[in-house]
Amino acid sequence: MEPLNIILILVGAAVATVILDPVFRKVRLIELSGVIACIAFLSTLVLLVLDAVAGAPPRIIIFGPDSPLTTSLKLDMLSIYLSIIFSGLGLMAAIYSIRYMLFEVEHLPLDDPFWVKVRELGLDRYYALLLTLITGMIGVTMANDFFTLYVFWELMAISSYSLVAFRKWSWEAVEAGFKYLIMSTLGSLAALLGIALLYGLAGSLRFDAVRAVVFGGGNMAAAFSLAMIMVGFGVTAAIVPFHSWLPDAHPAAPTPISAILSGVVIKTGVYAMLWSMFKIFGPATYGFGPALIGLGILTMSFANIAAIMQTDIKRFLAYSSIANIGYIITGMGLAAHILRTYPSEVGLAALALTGALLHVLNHALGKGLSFLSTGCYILRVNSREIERLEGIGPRMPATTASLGIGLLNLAGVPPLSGFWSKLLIVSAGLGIPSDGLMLAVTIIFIVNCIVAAGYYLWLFQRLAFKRPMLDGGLKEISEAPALMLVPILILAAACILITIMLNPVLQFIRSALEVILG
Amino acid sequence: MSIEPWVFYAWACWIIPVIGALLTPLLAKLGERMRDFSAVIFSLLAMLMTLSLLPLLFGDVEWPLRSQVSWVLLPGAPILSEIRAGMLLDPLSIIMANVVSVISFLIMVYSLGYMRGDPGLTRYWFFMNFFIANMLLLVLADNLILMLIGWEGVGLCSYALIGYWYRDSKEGWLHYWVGEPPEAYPPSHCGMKAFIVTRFGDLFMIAGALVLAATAKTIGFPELLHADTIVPAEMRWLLPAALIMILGGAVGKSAQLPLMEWLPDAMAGPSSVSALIHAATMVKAGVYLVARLFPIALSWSASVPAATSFFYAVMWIGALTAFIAASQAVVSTELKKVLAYSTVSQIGYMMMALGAAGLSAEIITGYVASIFHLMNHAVFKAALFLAAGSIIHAAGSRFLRDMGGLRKHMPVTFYSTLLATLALIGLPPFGGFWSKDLVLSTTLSSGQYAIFILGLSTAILTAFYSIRMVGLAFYGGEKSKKVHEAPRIMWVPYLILAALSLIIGLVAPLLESGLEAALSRILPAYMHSAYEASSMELLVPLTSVTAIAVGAVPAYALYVRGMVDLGEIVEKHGYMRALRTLLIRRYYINTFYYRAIAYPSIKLGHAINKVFESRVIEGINNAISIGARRLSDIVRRAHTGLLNHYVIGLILGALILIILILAGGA
Repeated sequence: MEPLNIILILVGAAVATVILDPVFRKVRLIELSGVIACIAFLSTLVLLVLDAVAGAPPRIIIFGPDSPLTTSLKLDMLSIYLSIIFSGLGLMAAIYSIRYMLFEVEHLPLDDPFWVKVRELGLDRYYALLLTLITGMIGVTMANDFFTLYVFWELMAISSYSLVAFRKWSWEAVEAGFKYLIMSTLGSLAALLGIALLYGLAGSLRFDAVRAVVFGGGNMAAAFSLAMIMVGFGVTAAIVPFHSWLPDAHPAAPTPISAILSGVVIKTGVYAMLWSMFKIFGPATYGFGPALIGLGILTMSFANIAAIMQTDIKRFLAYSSIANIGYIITGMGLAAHILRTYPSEVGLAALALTGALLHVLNHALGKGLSFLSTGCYILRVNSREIERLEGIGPRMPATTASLGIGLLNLAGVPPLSGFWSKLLIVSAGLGIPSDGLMLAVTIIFIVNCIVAAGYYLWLFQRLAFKRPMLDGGLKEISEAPALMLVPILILAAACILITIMLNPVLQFIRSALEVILG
Repeated sequence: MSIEPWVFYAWACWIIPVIGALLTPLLAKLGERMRDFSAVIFSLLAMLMTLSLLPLLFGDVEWPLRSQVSWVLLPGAPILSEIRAGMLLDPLSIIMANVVSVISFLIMVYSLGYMRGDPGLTRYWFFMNFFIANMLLLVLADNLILMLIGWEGVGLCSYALIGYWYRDSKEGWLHYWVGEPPEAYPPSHCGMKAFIVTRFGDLFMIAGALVLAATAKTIGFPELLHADTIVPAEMRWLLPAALIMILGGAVGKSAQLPLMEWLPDAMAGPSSVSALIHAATMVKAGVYLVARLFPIALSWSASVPAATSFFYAVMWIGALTAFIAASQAVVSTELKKVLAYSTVSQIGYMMMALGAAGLSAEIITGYVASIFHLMNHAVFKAALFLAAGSIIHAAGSRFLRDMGGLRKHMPVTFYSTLLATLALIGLPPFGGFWSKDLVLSTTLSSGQYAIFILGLSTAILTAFYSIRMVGLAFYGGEKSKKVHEAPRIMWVPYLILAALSLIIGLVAPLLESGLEAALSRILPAYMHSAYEASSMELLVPLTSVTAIAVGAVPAYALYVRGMVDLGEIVEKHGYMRALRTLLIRRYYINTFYYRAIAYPSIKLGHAINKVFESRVIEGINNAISIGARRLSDIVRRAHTGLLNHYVIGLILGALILIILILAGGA
């Protein structure tokens, strides 16, 4: 399987939904474009999983003659690992959207007939945007040069802006989308500046060529471009203080898109940072470890504290996403610090990165699950206020139980895999007891995990066990529709399955890490 | 690689009942009959799986057979860096698994009738199947940690099923409670008691397992056999210490002294549960564990002489328990409690045999004696408990004083009980006779005469309380009217078991040599010693039959024929009254535990709650939660919602980052 095929499948499906839209409207089945998206995601997922199981070797395809300026794609275990997560969550969101987006249509503040509202909402373009969003993300992980990476990056970014502002009759969404656009564009420009500098240094944008110049021996220009790339990708990864767009943007989007944005889009930023910092620049040469650790600690602490008192459930989950990015960034920072300060302890650095990458998966599952469950509440109660959702558990037992699994996974309650990813990072942090910095970081990390566990459980307690605030307000609430429950139950099962199959998953991650650490 | 059939049977026989247990709540949705019958069918399947293992015993097999999967991997961990989960098949585990599964199946069938119409049946079937699964896992586990999982699993099921009638209704006092004031306990209390007391023993067991993992670097039974050779000499003393600690778990689970107090009270559960868990299977887990450790201890005793202390401990605990429990059975006023004391006492017998075997030249005889007695006891005691369930149901009371004259109305139950009782007494040619005979001759051949005397006295007491029980229940004046025989689905299982106890006796010599041939193959080769006919051959059966006569004849006269009223005699003599009170109050061991441990712990808990919990902890909690809310509110304000602020934040952050990276150096 070639990397191009996956891109082609997804782009082809996006084009197909747009071209076939008149047909779907004629047969009065708007759901069909959702089905196309599902099929596209499922086939990519299957192809990728088959590739992963077969343990296929890394491949590179170059478009055109082999010159410094031609673009190319790569496919290695790391891109496969992340692409599986991306397309898997994309599949869940697509299945979920089929039913959920009808709800968005119904709540459009217009008196027009259904099909006019569909056009007005832009549901015919929705799946195309979802497909291009995931294409962009997968493309980023498969890029083999900074040019390709940047193109896919922008494809992803533009799709996300449009999807955040999708509910365009609502001021909240438009404002959030605009803020996201401005902030993310600033970030992209910073990254572009860094990439331009690299081109000046290396005369090529191919990763191997750039690496040959900056890895091992660097100069101030290279370090500056590294900083710009960190800022640029850090905005999408929502690292504090570049995160301020996220708490507005993620809640404003339609819920399945929130799940994608919070679950995986920010991980694309993490991947771009991981790749450029560890693979291209090299932590041994550039001392970015402490800076990364500082950013991670700041990110998790800020977001965890801010999350506690949120009253809007989607905003609450958005803050928790920032905090989880903090854990991942801290894991990466620890690895960078170890690789620079203790070059012999490669195993320990690998442990921290394994934890970080496992947490990428855990957070994608847990946060996707949480957002999708939240969407069910919104569908039934039409409110995002936690106060109004209190005590909804008994009315929607399957949704709430699944959400419970997701929250426990996010809270890192053993034996769920969320616990193991945090444990791996913590045990890497405790690996060199004489290092005061690492010890302090680990303690702050643990305190953050405890705080986070506290508010996740608090949220679950309020949703599942509290008496409803409004007398009889939740009386007529019933369980979510089956089509929306399916992805939720699959994700809940996946949380448990990953826990059971932790060893193979860890082996997969180790082989993905070999791409980075060699 | 092709998988041999035994691998499938070994894993399936405990996985099937787990599935059965998990399916029970779902099947309950399809209808009650569906749920009940499928629960029984899952236990039948488990039985078929274990039966399929039996042919291995007759084949030419290199024991032990082992099938392992990687289970827990903790690379770099100082101990237990890799734990494999494995099934261990050898004659011991195969025999034990079959005893468990066959009796389980019969009791499940009995439950169809006995528990019929009970409102909590989904819970009942769930825990019964879950119990069978855990018991088979315990038996087949190839290492201590996996065994502990089954071990705790059966403990959990035991807890849940003792407290099955958890509502503790006062109206059900005659049925569901246990004991008489001041030691009368409701079912939920008894379940808790069983759980806590056995857990106390388990603590030692876990500690022992960890000591072994730390010193011998292994917890697998086959590897432990030669663990003494890899442990440095100065640390070898830890090995017998670990064995004694693990023995703590066996003592708790098998209700031996000093942790025997939970079992008599466990009779608050349904009779089927008492039969399955508290007579035939779970309480034997301790014996099984000792039998598992037996070759290990024996093998270690060559290089670590202290390892023989394990056998002394097992032997003395067993012998004392056997005698003390039997003496309490003599005065018990409840039918099932007589049986419970008797169970404790008989398990003491098995322990005693194992201990003595380790100290004797005829190792294999003692080992076979214990396992044979375990089998016999499982069969006849299960029959007695199942019959007791019918009797209590018919009489409407668990007290012996409310029974009497049931013989004519319940003929099948009577004859089943009689057969099983005779086996319990050890009358020739019942199975009990042969195994008891072997146990006693082992104590003699090991030269432990004190133990022999204790065993013989226990035999006298056993004969006495057994006949007394039958007399009180089936003879004498009728206490209640409208008594009728139990339904067929109930009496068929216990009739089969009772008949089995006789059949085993009839083929006992054959069975004995078979067991000996099979079990001798798991003991290290050098332990085999020629079985020499000694001059004591005839002495033991003669003395044991005499002991039966000494115990049974007075009991027959007193309780079956009713020639003298023993109550009056006891009332006349002060010392006899005192003795009776001492026995009824269980030598005050139970009282001691409540006064010295249970009540003070509860008081301490209340005190801690009052002072520490509600003031200190509560205060800290409130401070944390209020502080976190305040802090969160402050931090939240950083999000003004104004894009200008956000962009300034971004640029400032970028500047700081650039400085940091440049300072980090290239």
